[in-house]
Amino acid sequence: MRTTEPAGRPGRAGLTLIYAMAAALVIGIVFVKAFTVRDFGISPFWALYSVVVTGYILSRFLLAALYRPRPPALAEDELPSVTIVVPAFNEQWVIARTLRACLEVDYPADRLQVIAVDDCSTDGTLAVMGQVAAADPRLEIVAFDHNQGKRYGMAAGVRRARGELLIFIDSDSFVEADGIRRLVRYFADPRVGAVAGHTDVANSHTNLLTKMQAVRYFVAFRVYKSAEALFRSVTCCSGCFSGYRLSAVEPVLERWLGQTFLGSVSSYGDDRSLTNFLLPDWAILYAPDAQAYTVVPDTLRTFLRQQLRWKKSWIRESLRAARFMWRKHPVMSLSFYLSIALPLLAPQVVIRALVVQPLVLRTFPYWYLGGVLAMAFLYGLYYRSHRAEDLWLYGVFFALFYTGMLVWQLPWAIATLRDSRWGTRTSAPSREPRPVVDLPAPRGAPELERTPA
Amino acid sequence: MTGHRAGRRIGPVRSALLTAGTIAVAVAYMVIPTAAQLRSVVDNRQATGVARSSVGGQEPPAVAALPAAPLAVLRRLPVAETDAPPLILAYHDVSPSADRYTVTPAAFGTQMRLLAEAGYRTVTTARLLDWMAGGARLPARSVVLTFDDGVDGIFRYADPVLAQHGLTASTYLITGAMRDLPGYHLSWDEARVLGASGRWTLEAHSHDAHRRIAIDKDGRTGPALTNRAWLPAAGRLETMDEYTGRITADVAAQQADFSGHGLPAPRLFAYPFSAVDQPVNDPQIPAILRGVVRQSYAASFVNEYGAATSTPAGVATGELRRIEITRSTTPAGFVAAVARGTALPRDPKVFADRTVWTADGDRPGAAPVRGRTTLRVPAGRHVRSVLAPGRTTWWTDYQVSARIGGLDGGADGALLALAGTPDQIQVGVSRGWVTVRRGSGAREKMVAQRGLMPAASHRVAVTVTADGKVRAEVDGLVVLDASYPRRAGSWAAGGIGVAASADPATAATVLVDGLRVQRLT
Repeated sequence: MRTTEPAGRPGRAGLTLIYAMAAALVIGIVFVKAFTVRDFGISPFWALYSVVVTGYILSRFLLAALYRPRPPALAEDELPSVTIVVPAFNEQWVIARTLRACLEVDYPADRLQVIAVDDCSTDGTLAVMGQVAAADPRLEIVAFDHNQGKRYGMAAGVRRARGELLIFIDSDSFVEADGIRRLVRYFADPRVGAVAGHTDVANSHTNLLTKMQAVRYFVAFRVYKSAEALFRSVTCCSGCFSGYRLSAVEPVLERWLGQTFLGSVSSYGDDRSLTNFLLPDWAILYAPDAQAYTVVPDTLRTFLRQQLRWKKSWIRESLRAARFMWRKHPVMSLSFYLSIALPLLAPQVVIRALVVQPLVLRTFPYWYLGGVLAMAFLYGLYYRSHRAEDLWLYGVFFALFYTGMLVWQLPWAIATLRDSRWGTRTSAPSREPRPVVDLPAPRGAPELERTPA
Repeated sequence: MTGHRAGRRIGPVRSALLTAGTIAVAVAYMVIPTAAQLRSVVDNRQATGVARSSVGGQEPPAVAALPAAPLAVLRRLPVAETDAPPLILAYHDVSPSADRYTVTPAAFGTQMRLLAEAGYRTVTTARLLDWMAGGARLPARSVVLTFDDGVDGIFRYADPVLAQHGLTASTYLITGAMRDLPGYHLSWDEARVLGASGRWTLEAHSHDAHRRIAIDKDGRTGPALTNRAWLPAAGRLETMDEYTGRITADVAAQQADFSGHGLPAPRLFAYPFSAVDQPVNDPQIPAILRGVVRQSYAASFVNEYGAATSTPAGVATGELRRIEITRSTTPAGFVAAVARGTALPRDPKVFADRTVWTADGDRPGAAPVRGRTTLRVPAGRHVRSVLAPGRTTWWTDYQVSARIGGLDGGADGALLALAGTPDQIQVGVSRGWVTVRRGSGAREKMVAQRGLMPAASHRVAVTVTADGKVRAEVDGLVVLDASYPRRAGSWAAGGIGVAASADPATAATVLVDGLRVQRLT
């Protein structure tokens, strides 16, 4: 399936301007942080934090710039066999599009297997899967008779996989036609166990919330994952679109399914968890050119629930990875441990800036807000330099959103670590999502009925 | 989620404990560092002897033990019993900063505690203005606290101390420098909070004239309010009209800023740099400046370094004098400053303190020792010793008397009343003559002269009353009985002194015995 190209990069003049602004911003930040050195006498801890967090974020951009993967081009007959696994629960409105995108990838038909797993949806998901299968018999459907969770859905796909490579695609993610072909090239190196594809937000223009997420996703993948991939240690191959070597997954499958944490079964963070099983022994890369689009929450409630889930899995998996990450490259190791320590300090930083400083010390938190906004602009400029879209300013909103809301989820996430209830999606039938206007409808098959059977 | 129990099963007790554990970790994760943060901020402030803002209802920590000697001196300080002007102290910033005019919070706390323990009470702005308008007299140990420049430090450091001791004060804002957020100066919100607390009134310190401007073409600078500005574009000094317009506009801008921010109009004005009479680059300026200030404000302040209490003439035109407290003021120095700003009672017991007697040029003057003042005068010279002219500005309705001896050899001794004022009465006696002079300096005029029974000493008495009557007697003989009407700038009030002069050929030693002052009211 051929969709439109992502909105192209701005022209040369535009790029020069953007790079100039970014350079000025970075220089300004470094300059300002140099003044922080004076504060070491007054409040050494906060001054140190300020310098370290700035250095950490700027280093992500620097390392990402150094990541220039050159996976070999593969001839037709060299392409490995691939199994796409799409676990789904109550996604009747988008599953058809997802599956059609999978079926219509530009890949040799004899080496492509597509498995859709229905986790006992209470809406018409299974029926829609049936309709897609009726139109394209290549689709294999696994229907659970009781709800077991996404992890078991993925495992069911693994068990039926005939291909050499597993590609996990979320039920609301749409892979580009050339996405698979581009992703598999990274597996030419036999030491590579998993590769994260690049995922952008499909419904980026719906509302402020999705626009913020669009910028964040873009930077999280292009910058943060690249910085990790430079050391071949991407810590999370996102479930929206990632590839795994079957021979790497099969040995850990049972342990992955049986993972418990603090006495409860781990039912969330499946993608991060699986990556963690491979991380000690395999190279994990990132493919910036393998493109998919995913639907992100467009209501505050769903968004916050998702973020809470992500925080809990982040806590759990970071504790696991901390046990072996010290064996990796020193820069990767340091980055990893900082990536745990710095967010954990975030609530105190915000309290200091927004409570202690104005109310007790009677000073305006210039440094903090300036730093947050500067980083937000940096994110925005980075986005703007790669996409000729108006969304870059929403990086600022995201930064403010993070300070105001997301940072406070961390203690809540710790307190509710054992609560697995929100691991699965709700059992209520999903409401009809707003139309995804960016991408044209899949070609080929006639428009499918949208009413459930 | 239903179903999977892959992995080991744990019992319900263990499960509950684990859940409790995660909740406990989450609570500790938030509470402990936050508490540590707040406490370190408090500790930081306590280290500088400073409290969190009292507006938040916090009590400042106790200041270290009060120095005993200064407290004792302060308690024993004689205070005037009549309608004397109050002690007025001038502060600027109260903060840990190292500026010359900034008092540290610990020092300020000590000073306020000294005042409180010595029985001083602050006078509110309203009470002060009422007193100036002829209302109720102020209690004996009254003090007016003023803080110039309206800096943020007074909100953070001074106010908690005032709150602790129940003191009131006023602050003088430079409105042109104030913003919505605190910086070096108070923010408008902070000023509002101070005003609403009932402890502070917000007063004026100019809108944008607390700075120095070029006053001639060579770039010399002077205070903006007391000089005609040099206009580089026009290549001249501004005219008096332009000057008047400029200072009037500054006053108007300040008052507009006050009302624009919903604050009551300021009634008091503190001259920037305490400059009124000088430095000026035009002799007409002081009168014009005073006129503008008088029109817009009920009272204004000028700072003094030496002994200074407000004069009756000054109070009648709304001008008050204050003592400046700086960073270098130790507790003993503070008590000395308080003494300098405290009016003396009309009582001979104050003569015993040698430091209150001044000769010309602020040098110490001869003080009575066991009732006798010895004035040694070199040949052809003149010697004076005046009782704290800055602290006796309100003396009136009294009689001063003494026996002046040692008048052989052409020496001349004198008793002064209303000393140092334009109405000074100097009753000078030599062996056979008495000469009464009125006025001081260039305006001194002889008003009476009589012969006396020649004697080595004469008894002199001078009586002055508030209605302008002066009566001088020598050896029981009335040599002057006159009535001088009050003029602008004269008030028939002033202190006492002694003086002597010697014949050009011979040095002399004039003795003043039994110097006494007695109040008539």
